[in-house]
Amino acid sequence: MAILQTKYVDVGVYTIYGTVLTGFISTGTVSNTQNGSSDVNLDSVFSGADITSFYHSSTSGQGLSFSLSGNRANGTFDTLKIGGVSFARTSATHSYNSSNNRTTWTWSSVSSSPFGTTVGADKQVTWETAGSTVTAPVISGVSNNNAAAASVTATISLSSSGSGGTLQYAQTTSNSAPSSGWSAAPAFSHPRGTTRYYWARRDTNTVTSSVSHSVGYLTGDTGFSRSSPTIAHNAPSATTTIQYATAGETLAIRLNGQSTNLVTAVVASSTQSQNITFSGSLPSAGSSSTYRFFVRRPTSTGGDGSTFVDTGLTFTVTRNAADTTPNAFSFTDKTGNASTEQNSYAQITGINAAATVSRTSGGATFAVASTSTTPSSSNFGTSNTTITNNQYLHVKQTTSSTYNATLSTVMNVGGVTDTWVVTTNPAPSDGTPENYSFTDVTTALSTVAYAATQITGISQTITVSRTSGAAVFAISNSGTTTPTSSAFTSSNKTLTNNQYIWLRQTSSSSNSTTLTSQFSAGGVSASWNLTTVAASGSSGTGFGLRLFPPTGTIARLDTTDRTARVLAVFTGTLAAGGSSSTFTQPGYSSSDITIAVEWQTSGDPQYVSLSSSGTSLTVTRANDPSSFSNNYQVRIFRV
Amino acid sequence: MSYAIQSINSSGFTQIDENSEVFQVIQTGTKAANVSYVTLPNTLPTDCLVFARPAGGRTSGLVQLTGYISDFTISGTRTLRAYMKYNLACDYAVVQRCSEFTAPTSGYGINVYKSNGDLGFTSEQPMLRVIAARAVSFSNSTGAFDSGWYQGTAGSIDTAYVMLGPYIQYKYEQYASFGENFYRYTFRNAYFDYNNHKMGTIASTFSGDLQRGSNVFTRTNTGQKTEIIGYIV
Repeated sequence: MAILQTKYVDVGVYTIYGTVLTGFISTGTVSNTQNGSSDVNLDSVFSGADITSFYHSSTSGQGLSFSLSGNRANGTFDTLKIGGVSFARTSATHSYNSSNNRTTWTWSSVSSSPFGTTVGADKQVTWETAGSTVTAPVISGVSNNNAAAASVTATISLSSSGSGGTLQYAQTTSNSAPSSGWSAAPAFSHPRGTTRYYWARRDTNTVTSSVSHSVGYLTGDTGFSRSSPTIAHNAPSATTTIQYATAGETLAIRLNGQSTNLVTAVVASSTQSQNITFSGSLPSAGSSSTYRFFVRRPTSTGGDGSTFVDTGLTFTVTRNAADTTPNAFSFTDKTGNASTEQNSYAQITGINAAATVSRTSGGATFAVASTSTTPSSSNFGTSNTTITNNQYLHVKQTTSSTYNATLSTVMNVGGVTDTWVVTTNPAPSDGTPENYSFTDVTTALSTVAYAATQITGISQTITVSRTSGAAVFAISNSGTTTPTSSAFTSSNKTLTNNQYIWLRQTSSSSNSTTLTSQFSAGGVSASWNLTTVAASGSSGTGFGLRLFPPTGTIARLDTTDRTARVLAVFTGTLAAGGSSSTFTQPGYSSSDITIAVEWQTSGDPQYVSLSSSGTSLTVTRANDPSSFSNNYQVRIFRV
Repeated sequence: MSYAIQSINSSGFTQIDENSEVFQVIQTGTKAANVSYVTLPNTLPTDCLVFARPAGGRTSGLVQLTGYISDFTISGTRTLRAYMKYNLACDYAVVQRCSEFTAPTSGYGINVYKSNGDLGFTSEQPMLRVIAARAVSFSNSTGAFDSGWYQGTAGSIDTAYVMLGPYIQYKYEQYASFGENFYRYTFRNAYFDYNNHKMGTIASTFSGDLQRGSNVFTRTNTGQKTEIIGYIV
């Protein structure tokens, strides 16, 4: 005998027209446990059947009746046992009432109520079969199909399917064996993120132990491409481009190692690229930062729809350093008429940040504009300003009022400079110099004197000529260095602007004598007067030094004396056969008659010559037949 | 000017300064007529100068004067001579650079030193006073002869000396003429024109035969020289 199902009847008593009904009829309760809550399900006996009434009538001939919902076959159980009293199914009348869709078994001969008459008493009722013993199945495990969905299909696997009864399965959310919900199919829908308990049985008395099974969420896509952008030094945001992420998932970008989402974006396509832009936590200029992708999978595809999971995928953002050093730039130098405004400009390139514009030197004003068109004058100034890439730096200056004059301005942009030169056109061709003059000289007798004057105001080569007098002249670029002696001649010479005319003449050997020479340069004439000093009075007056020897009778040195003063003495040897020797005496001039030279040979005197060139003197021995060398002495002195 | 003194005479010429030293007289004497030379002390410096004039000077007349210094060493002995016109008695004065004197440490007057410490002037020694000077340049073709390069006033050259040196045998020629060969010396002479108070230069020559076929050539002392006339005081 096997018990198909066990119930408890909390006995109720109902009396109507003298008939006493006891059991479960309008009153009383059927439950699975003693004094339990109502549960009329009798699935273990008749699947889907509920007990609609179960009572004993005191009226003779009505006996014990038991009704179920639905049309139930007269089988399945063999014995109904109430409070230990058995009633054979076969002793009962089986009927089905289609009007109320109920099936009833009636034991009409039972005169005494098996439920008793005590209201509230619990009577155990079992439905039993006469077959063999039912053995419980054994669950070996629960598996699921891991579908990309909110729920998966969990399937119960048995290591032993048991015997007898009816094999049924159930799923519960708590670890309590269900009284209902049993199913012949072992597969159940299992929501992700939950734990469910799974059961199996053959009958109500052979329910297995539960097996818990949990199904987690799927994580998002962790394999997609992304770019590492380089951004401008002042960019407000950065954009990385992703591709091949999974559509519908949400990506978040965080600074690597941090937990704050800088931006989230839903992936629109699993194949197309997509830009994701963010603006927070960007690197500073000249540095880089690493960012990490997190992904959130929606519940519809198995994710939890709320948690961002680390993808392990990173990318970097590099921010360029600010570059304020432009490429070399150049202004076009300008030439124009005197006192005219000149303009130029240069485009500044090669910077990514505003560079400082300043004027290092010079007098040009400047302006910054977006085009090469010269800005209005009011925009020009001299104060430092800034310029950005591809803008134009304009400069402006008025040419000098002086011919050929240049005005240079050095402009500095971010440390790079260029010099802009504005030149005034040369004067119209001018062969007439400004008036000039020579400084007249008063000097000692027979003394070589010089004068020099600079010629200006011409723009072409002119001719200088001596028109009268005896002074010789030379042309030089210097007004301080006396030209060489050979440069002084009386011949016409050419001269350019700012060169000097040098004059030279030996003063008269007489006192108070003026030698006048006149010169013409480009048609402009000037005279030079070289005058000797006036004669002094008698000895002992005027200038000079007067010294007396011990005798006192005659001046050893008088105020009118000219002394012979040694400048240098050169001695040497001249070999036979035309040898020579050259030496230099600073200040020597063959035409300076105040410089005296005396030479002689000794030893074996031979014929020699003394020549000079500038301050160099050369003693040369004639190519005579003598085989002996001889000495020479050259004395140079001033008288 | 950093040293000594500078003295400028009334004509603007510098007499003394810190950079130069004056010539001062070391010896005077007279060469007799019909004597070629006088022998000078061989201790005199090689760069000394000799001035000469007709003995006692003149107040009138015309006088030609040649002369030179001969300075040679034979067998280790130096011989210094001053040659002057053979048949003319001549006064001479030897001057040397002041630095070659021993600076006097007694007597009167002053010593002036150059910037290098050399004696540049001393009032203890007689002076050569320059009257006039001129630069001349000889060549094969010209001896720079001038009948009166200095024109003085009456008496101005009566006692004047001339510096020997420019008045030399300046040219020697061997030449051929009409198939014969000859030689010729040309001298430059100081030309004292006491009558007109001027000083000039004049040439004199003497010549003779050479063996026929002798070499023909000209040798000349050429180049620049300075003629000086002055007083010795």
